[in-house]
Amino acid sequence: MQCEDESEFVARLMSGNKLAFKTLVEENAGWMLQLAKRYTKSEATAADCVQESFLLVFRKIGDFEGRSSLRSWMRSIVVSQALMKLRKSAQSNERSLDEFTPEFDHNGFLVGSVSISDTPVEALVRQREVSNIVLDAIAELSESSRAVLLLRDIEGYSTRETADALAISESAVRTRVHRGRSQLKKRLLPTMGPKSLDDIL
Amino acid sequence: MHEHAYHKPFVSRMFRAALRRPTSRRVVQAMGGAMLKYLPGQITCGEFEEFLVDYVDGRLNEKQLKLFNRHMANCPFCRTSLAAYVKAIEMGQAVFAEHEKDEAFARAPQELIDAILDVTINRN
Repeated sequence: MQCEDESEFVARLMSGNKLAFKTLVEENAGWMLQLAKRYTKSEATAADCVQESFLLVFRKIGDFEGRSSLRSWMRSIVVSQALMKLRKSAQSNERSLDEFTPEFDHNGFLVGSVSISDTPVEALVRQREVSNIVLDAIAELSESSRAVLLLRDIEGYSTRETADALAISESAVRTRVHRGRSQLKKRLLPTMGPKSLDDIL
Repeated sequence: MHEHAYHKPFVSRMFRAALRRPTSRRVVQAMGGAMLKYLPGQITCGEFEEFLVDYVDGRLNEKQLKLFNRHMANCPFCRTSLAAYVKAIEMGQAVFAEHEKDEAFARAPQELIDAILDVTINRN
């Protein structure tokens, strides 16, 4: 939506124009549902999230100051609703950090080695298989680690902002984001392609 | 994201040759591990791993960064492991960016749209 169009559209929403709100729902519920599903995994919970987000948008549109786009504002509402759902369910099926982090010997030296090629990231992610591995690896994370990884690496929140959003310590954010990234790395290593040790040394 | 400086490893020709032989790699690793554990100004691979999140965020202090870079220069395994860690983050971001493009025009099920309209405009 163009800037001028958007301010006009927001003005119509603020004046309680029902047709404008109907358009808002029809045009945005789709991506909002996909976004909520990243956090909740469950279609039904994600749908609840979207419904509650629109209720908030409907009630709070008068508070929208236009400092960000309407879409960014709605995005932050969906994310915070999804996080609230996660906190309520408080499902804790944490897997051990050791499962994903590298193994070290008694001297603290890395056991085994990884090898990667110089294939650019863009070329790798164009492969559907790679894209599926990324999504599967993130879906397999515990709810808390997944939320932290999505907030930090995808939404671009800082460690402090993530800690505030999830009401956890910054140190817990660091541990969980590391767990998530380590799992992602472990799952993606085979797709990164081999590179001989001679190239590395 | 932090700008990474990958240093050419400072390892002797003998060390490099030994690392290429799988049979002696374990011995060299054990020696290297002991060296890194007991020599001052060195960190182990385990400690290097603990610095990763702050390194990627560019939040290591000067002293930590010096230790981190020194280990990276001397340990080809951790150097590659770090490159894979960063590449995995970038791949995750690239996959989600692609998905966002597709999802931008995704349509929600009509029942959900109707339910939302019911609790908002139709009720007020």
